[in-house]
Amino acid sequence: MNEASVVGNVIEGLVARGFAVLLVNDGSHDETARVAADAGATVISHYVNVGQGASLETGFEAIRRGQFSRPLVATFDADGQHSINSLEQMIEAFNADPDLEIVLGSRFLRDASQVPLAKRVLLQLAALIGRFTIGIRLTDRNNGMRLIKSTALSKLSITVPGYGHADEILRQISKRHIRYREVPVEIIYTEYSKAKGQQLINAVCILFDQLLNKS
Amino acid sequence: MTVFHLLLLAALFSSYFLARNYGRVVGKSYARLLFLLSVAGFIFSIVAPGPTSRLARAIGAHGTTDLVASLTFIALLVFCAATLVKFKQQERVYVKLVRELALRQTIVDHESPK
Repeated sequence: MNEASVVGNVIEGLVARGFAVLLVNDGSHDETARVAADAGATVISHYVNVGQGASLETGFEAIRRGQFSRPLVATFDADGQHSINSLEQMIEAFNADPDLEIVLGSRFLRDASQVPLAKRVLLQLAALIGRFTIGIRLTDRNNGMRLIKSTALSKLSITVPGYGHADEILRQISKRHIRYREVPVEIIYTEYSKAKGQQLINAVCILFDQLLNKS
Repeated sequence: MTVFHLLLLAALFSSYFLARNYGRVVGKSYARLLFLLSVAGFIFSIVAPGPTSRLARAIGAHGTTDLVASLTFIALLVFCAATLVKFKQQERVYVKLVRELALRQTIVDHESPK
């Protein structure tokens, strides 16, 4: 939402590497939709802001309905904190193991020094708790970078509109025995992304949403 | 543990389960019933303090104030939980509507290779 100043570069970078981009514009008040379309993305716009989980589900549903079809689907942030090199490494993981259905990004499988200390502690604590509450072993429970086989999208259904969707996806992976693997990814903490949504206080919202949407 | 404590625990547990199923008639009725009961208890304790006090002591509550306060607390708790559940249900409908409207807009696939 409201990423007009950065989304153009992100999409141009992806398009230059041969990726097709579907952007879900979650009720932005600025020029995000126009900038994204000009940069080469297919744009779906929510009239009002409904949350990250709802936006992902809109994108997934467009793919399920065949409005936008590709064999692999990546979830990639518009604020420039996800790395295209990491995305390509995730694709390599899929090529190495064709039985995989979803590849999850992790900041903690290699050097995690770029992650702020307080955030590192919180995320690793969340991952530890997730082993018991969700039932799967992960090193990074709140990483937004995922690569999903489009045929596996029928096994996923995001009902939590807000931050809690990350746990909902993991819970469905566990419950529906979706084949997954974690792959190290780089998260680029720019001043922009830190100011926008990477503040530690966001963790409070995420934790609250995850508790509330536990069912 | 007195009868009053057991009643309190039973009311809390049943309230929790019913509030989670607030969409059903029984959940809605229970929330309203609890609220009415607390109002009735409150009025009754003012109109007839003697019998209320005896009833409170008979079931193990220390007095009228404890009984009425507990009733009010449970009723408020049920209403808060029920409101939250109701909000979540409405949010789900609203989000579905926004998403469906967005998906029905014409989208143009740029046909990139990956």
